[in-house]
Amino acid sequence: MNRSAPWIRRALVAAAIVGSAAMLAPSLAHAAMTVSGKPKISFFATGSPGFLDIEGESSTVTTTDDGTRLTFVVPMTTVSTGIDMRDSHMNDEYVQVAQFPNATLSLAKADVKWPAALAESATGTITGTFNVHGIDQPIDVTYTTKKSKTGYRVNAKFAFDCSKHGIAIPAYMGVTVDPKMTAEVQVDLVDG
Amino acid sequence: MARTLLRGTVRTVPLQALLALFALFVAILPGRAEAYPWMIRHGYTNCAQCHVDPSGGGVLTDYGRAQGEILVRTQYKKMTKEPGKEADFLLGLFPLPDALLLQGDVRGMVIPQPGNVRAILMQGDLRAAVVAGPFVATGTLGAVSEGGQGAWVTSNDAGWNLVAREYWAGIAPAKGWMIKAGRMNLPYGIRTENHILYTRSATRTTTNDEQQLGASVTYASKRFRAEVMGIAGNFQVRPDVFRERGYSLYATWAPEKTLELGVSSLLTVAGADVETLAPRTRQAHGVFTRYAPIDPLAILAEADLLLSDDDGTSTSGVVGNLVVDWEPKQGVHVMGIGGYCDASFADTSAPAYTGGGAVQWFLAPRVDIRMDIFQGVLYCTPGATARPMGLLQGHVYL
Repeated sequence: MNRSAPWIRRALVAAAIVGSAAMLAPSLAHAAMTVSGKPKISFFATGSPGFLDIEGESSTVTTTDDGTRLTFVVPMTTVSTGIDMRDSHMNDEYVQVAQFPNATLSLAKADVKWPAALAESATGTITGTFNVHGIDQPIDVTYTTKKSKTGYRVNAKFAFDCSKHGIAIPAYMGVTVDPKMTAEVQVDLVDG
Repeated sequence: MARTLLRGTVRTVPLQALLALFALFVAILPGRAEAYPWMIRHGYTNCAQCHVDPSGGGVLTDYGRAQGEILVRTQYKKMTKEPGKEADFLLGLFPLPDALLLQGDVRGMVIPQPGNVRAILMQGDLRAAVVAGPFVATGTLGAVSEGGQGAWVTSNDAGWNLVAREYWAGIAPAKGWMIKAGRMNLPYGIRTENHILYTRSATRTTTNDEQQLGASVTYASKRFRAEVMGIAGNFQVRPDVFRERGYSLYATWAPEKTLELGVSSLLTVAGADVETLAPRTRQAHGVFTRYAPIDPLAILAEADLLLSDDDGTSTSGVVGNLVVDWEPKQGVHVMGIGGYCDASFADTSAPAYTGGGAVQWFLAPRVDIRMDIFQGVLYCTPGATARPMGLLQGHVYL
């Protein structure tokens, strides 16, 4: 008994370490996530009169990941609405990209459900931080994560009010844009 | 023909004096803006940003005039600054009050038939609109060298006439709503300047001269728009027995910003039809779509069922048009156009058809030219002999 006790203890300690490692594996496995493939970032706004659909799209997004927060970074100059002049207005007069080049969405990784099994999906709504025009605002993000062979497919959507970010309400020749806008992120993440 | 005959007693104004005055006016102020349904390729499912009439066509708003420079015409170098005075009325020769919108259009056409080359002034209109808060009023006055009988205010069977296509007043009581009364375009199908499309001519819903007096309610939201109009008749046609009364409407749903699906319906009753001279109940019910599946392409399609009761004799038929508009370079539109019309299934004459192509080039500020070449029959005239045809158009608006 006395001889076996240390062995048992060592075995239990080893089992605990292995078990803990296994439990931590899903989060450690995507400790530093990066973007792969062709992401799509969309901003949606509505102009009045006539409920004009305005969609700005970008396929340029990077991530920063400090292990606890995952932050998506979109250079605003890469966002295109399909009309060059409108893009110029957006960048120069409203977003002021010379001073505030990026829009960012920051999420606590621990708040996000990351499914472990291949093809398994998880959905949820969490609070994140959206920054545009240099001003942070808390926003509710509705997301879906799906485990893929290489990482995760993430779809996220949130609403924001550009006036709360200090952006003037866009108006042009009698058409005024509603400051309440939405954004969508479709991105594949892999372990960096 | 009958329409022309009806106008013999209408002339009430010294025509020559009016024409001289108007010719002077038009020489200074060409203009007319049109409904360009292919703008859906830029995400414009609604019309209210660019036009005073929320269903499209007619006077352009300041935003619409700016888009004429930014989006519609060819840019020969990258546009780096705002449209300047070239977007303003009369190229900014004099400023207008904010509430006043003025516009002039001149549209001419040449029909190069061998041995019979005809030049027609289809449009020489001055358009005006006043927009004051929720109140809107608009009207047009113009001249045509031939055609356009439905909008005549003079009655010169042999030549020039003054025309008033639209004059209405409206109020927007709430966001997305407008109530209008006056003479206006019938809300039906795809609104387009191309009035030789069978779907427009066979349903008598062109923006050329088939406006009617009445009242309408228009509603538009992000994905839905509709207009329903009660028709009191065309009061520029006399006597009253020829005036059609009934309703016309459309409703559309846009599941995406580049896709719109719509339905239309029209029913009118006249004591005597302007073409058949018999009592007539006329109906049209149809579907249409505007779709931009990929960036430089827009597809416009419409099909309508035609029903008619002519003094107790019922007929039914169909009409359809397909337009594929490809814009390889901004301002240059290459179109394939097809049309089919069988106005009466009971008529054993061959249905009318047309097929061909067109190139339209918005080549300079406020200027576009268009050439159509097609094989078929110009209007929905079953039994007419199909033949090759060509049309040349020039359009200037200021």
